[in-house]
Amino acid sequence: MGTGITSILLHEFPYNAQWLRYISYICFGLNVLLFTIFLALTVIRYVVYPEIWCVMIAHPAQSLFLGCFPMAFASEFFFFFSLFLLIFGFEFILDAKPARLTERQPSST
Amino acid sequence: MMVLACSHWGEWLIYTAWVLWWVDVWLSLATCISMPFIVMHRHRPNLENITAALLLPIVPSIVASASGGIIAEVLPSTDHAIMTLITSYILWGIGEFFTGCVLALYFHRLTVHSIPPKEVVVSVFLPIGPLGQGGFGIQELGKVAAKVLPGTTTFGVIENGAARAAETLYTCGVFLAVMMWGFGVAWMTLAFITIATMRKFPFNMGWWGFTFPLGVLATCTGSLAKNLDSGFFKITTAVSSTHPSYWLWGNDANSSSRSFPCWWCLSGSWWPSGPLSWQ
Repeated sequence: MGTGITSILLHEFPYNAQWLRYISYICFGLNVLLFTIFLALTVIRYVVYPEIWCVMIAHPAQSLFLGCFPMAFASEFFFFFSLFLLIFGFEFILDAKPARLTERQPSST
Repeated sequence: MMVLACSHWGEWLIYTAWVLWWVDVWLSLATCISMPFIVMHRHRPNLENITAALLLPIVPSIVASASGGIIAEVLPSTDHAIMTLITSYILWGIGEFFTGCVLALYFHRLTVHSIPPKEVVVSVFLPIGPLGQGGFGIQELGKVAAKVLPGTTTFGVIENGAARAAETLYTCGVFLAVMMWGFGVAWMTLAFITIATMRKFPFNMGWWGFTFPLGVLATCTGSLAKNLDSGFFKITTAVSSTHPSYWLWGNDANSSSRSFPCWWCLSGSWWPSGPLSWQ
């Protein structure tokens, strides 16, 4: 989550420059790497020691951190999504929704 | 031909992202609703032991709602976009109102039992998270509503209701975000004062709590700068954006290896012999 927000912030920095964007892509790469490593470690942990799951749920502090998974997951793949749009351009996204654009035209006139 | 291939690709990508978003929605709802119940039923903490970490299972629904705004903007079908938009508003409501409850509880705890112990003191920054992310999310949703709603049959009771509702939602989004930004800055000030009262506090996993809340407050500020076309918010974004990067890349010059969070996580003793083996 921390690395994810760093890449988003560098990307959206108000006085932006190309080199900041490159740093943000590096941060994003690091983010994906860390997320994958920790996800794999966590999965292995609960597969190898399933009994830890119940201990973790009962732990008053650790169990609360479960919420960090969906948070990291969201910031992770939405940056990926916007990066994809950025690299391959918004044109094809516009191409992909002609239905809505034409549908809305009569109402705006 | 190329464009056609690409547009096919684009639609496929958008719908993959949409499916992943729904997965995220259910995961966030699962943590957001089950964890408070587990806290009530299993943990039953004393008031003294409550920290702002209680917000952690709740914030994902706000994050999911902000992400929903991003995905609704590009969905090809208006129906799907509206469905996503409404779901995102619901998620935003669940997250923000739960946050209100937890903040009241946390404020009560701070008032009665003073500031948290050194080990978990970084958690005083966590209340900024849902406020910053919520402020960003509600602006994003308002922006998408302004694009998606006009021309639809929603809000049909009023004449030209959809277009007027779209404007209202956009305006209310920015308005709410300004207020949440203010409350977020108030909590941030409180957090900095709390930190200032402590000379030294140990490095631990909770330190990531510096990065995310301050970071989302900066994204909220960035959206405000765009929506209000404000130089003040633009400069504030630039200043506040530098904090998370600074904290992330290690800040304690005295102990360089320990201060590098990633290194700490990898070298830390959190594997089976870690903190969970207390039983």
